[in-house]
Amino acid sequence: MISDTPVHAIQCLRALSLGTFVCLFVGLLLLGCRASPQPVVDSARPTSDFSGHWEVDYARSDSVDNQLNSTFREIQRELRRRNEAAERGAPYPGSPIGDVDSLLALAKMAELVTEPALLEVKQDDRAIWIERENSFALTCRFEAFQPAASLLGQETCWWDGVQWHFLIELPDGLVIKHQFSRSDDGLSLAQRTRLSNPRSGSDFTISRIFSRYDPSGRGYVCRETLSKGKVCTTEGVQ
Amino acid sequence: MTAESSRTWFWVLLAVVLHGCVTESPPSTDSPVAPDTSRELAILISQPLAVAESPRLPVLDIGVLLFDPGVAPDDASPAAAVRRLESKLLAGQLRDTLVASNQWGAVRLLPERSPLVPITIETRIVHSDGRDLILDVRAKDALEDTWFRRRLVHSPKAGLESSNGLGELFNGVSNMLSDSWAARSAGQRESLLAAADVRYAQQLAPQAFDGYLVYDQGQLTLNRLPAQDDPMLRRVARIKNQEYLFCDTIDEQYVELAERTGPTYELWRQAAVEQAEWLERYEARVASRGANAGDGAFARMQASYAAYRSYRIQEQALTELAEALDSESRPMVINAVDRAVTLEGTLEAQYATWRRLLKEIYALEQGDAP
Repeated sequence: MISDTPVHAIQCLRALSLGTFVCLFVGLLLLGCRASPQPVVDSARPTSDFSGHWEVDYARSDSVDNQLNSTFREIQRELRRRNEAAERGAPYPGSPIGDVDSLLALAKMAELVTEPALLEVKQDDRAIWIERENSFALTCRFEAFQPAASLLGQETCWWDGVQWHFLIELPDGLVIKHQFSRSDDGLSLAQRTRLSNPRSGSDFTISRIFSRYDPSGRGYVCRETLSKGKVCTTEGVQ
Repeated sequence: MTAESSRTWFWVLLAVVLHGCVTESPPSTDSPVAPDTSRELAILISQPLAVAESPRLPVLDIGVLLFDPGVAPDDASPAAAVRRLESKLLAGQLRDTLVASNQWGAVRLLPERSPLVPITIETRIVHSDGRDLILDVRAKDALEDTWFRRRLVHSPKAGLESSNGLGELFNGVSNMLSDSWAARSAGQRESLLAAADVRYAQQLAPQAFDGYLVYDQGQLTLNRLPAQDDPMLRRVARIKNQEYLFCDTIDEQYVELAERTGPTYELWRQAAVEQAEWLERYEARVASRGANAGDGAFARMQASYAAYRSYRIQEQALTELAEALDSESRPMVINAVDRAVTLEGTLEAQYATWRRLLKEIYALEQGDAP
């Protein structure tokens, strides 16, 4: 309904009746709603503790190739349905299919963005830090879910009562949304990542499942350093 | 339009643009440099440092206040932690520039205003984002006379940057101080140093040194001097030396801080500049060729994400360091006249405790009740 609002508004303008003003008013209200989608924020502090070390479980995670194949199969089915509808001369109500090149680009980006195979989550009564191997940490403070803006992009985060949301908007239009939720037994962490580009109208979603692990049981410990990157040592490991 | 008038318009425009930045940071509640007049401050342009063969006589000691970070004291955000770190690092750089000029006596870092030194330099960070830096500086002497107020601007985008790092930004401060000191007669210089001594003595024993300094038409002036062999003055000098001890400890802490955080801070600034330049080039390319021309969709998104990721990694490294240092409140152990004293709390609190203690020691030596 929301995407049809401008059309409704134009139809209303053409109609010379008192209802025009009512339609205009409703249309403007709807436009206003569309212009500022607000995240559903749960003001209560998160009850789930996400802390710990997590490693990706490839067996339970999506693969970008599989996901892409599945998306293409869906596009083919969609095209078939459209053709069939066109042949019958019937209107087709489905949403438009995005640009295939953009979809491929988003899939490659999804591979890049979800590359970190290890996470270290720290959580206290003030904030959560999701440190990702070879990437920047996703951080969120409980008191102020304020967007962190810079010239190079903007980050917004919030807790909706079930999962953490991290929204990254880059200047070229790419939008990356990570959602993190924890299993009831606390042994698994799900990361759902959706990449979209409103300019091309495409989006691509991929899920990764992480399992808890004990870093001291690996025989080595790694840490990120500014000057040398990732440095691993076997010293100090029990 | 002549070159001169073009330049004037450039500065006026820049001042207007930069004034916009002032509103970005929350006003400090305890700002040493009053913000209401900041819009009138002239910009001090980057210049070479005037280095003297030897300090001008009589030697002038200078106090550099730790910069006002321009954030509320209870602001616990990462950005505030970075600002507080900057307020110490940059004060240290100003101190280093003054020392390098070889024009002055001892140049000391102070947590807050003190009559310990004849002249104090107070600075407020108006804006800092890693790339652009705006500082308001004021030099004020022991007679409450403001020597100058200036705005320092480091803005690579506006073409206002130092070729040899931020330290060069402070050359103008040293040069202006030097000009102001040289413009005073020998008598005025001696008078200021004597007035500073009297002010210090006054805060230890207000009654004993009452009347030596008077306000005349809104101006503090030296009315008379205590006798050279006044035993009270000798005691004051000894107490003063004890306060110097505190400043020396701050100095040691600054050196340690600069060693620990200086490289990360520089990397952060460098990353901020590089990323901003990258973004400008990217936007120019998009504007000139169209968003879909040239680069493929993946290449564009990858470059954009890589730039953002790189900047965030640098920023988070600095924030982590700044937050760790921000929460550190190291106790300080200093030898007083006959005992070792442990000072705790923030640096400002430690300094206030130390000064109160020195005042008590002085009162005890005088036989007065503290």
